[in-house]
Amino acid sequence: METILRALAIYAFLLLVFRFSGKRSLAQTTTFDLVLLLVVGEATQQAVVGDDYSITTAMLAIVTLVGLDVGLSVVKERFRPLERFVDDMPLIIVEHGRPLRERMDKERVDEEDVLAAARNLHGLERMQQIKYAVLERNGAISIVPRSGG
Amino acid sequence: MPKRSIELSEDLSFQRRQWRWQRAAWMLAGAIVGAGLLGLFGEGPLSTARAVSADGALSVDYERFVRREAPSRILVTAAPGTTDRSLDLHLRASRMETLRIVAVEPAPQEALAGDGARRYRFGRLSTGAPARILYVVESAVPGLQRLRIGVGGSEVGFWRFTFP
Repeated sequence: METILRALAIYAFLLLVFRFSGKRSLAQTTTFDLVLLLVVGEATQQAVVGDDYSITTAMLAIVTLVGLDVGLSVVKERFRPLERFVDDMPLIIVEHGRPLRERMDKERVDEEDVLAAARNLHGLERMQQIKYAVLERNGAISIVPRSGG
Repeated sequence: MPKRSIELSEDLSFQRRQWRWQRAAWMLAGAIVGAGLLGLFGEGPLSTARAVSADGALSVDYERFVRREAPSRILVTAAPGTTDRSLDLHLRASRMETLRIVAVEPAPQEALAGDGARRYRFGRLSTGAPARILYVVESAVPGLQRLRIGVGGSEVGFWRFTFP
């Protein structure tokens, strides 16, 4: 029983921490982010299974975590406010070539990030060629180019 | 703002509320780290404490805040005895069964149980120096725990809080 409670506590805690750290926190994983993620995993592992090396505990922890994830996704579908809270919402950050500064500042995205996404996705060269840039729920930037631009 | 051609479930008021609570959460995270540095979760100025008996003959250095299953030290210092060749120490705690004594240094000659306390008898040199006895303990259950440690006629009481 304790394994399940531990997994539950850690799941809820991680959900909150990664939610308040913002959309962009681990969206574009740099090498360092990857290392950070591994260290977070390492710290978490101790708290979930403790010093119990049994297969039973490992299976119980995994089933609990995956079950929570599935359960949460089912509840999210039925209850929209929860979905917004857990998954965030998309946000327009460039409109007709004009960066929306306040939004970008709040989400800690700069024009370089937008231009990088524009180059990557569409081979665009200038901000003017962007119709919309959207900061998606997962932290990625998607670009809608101007037609005929 | 003119109607956008892009179909997007954007909600700016939700977004603003979110930015506000994210800011608040960052401050809370900062406060937690600050409290951790000060020792609210163990090992720091808020946590490291000393209890001294009324007659000053016995003092105990301990951690007020400990984490579950994490070893912590309790150092007992007893004033020099007269000609005693041994030192009798007793340890009482609320929820005694949740306190695991991992190590006692030096090893006692005798360890006794029976009357709700744990009793230890240590050999003692009559050098005129205080005797120091180190306990390494772990709490198995989160919560507040009151402890009393006595040597001879002196006794000190203190509490420790175990975080989950």
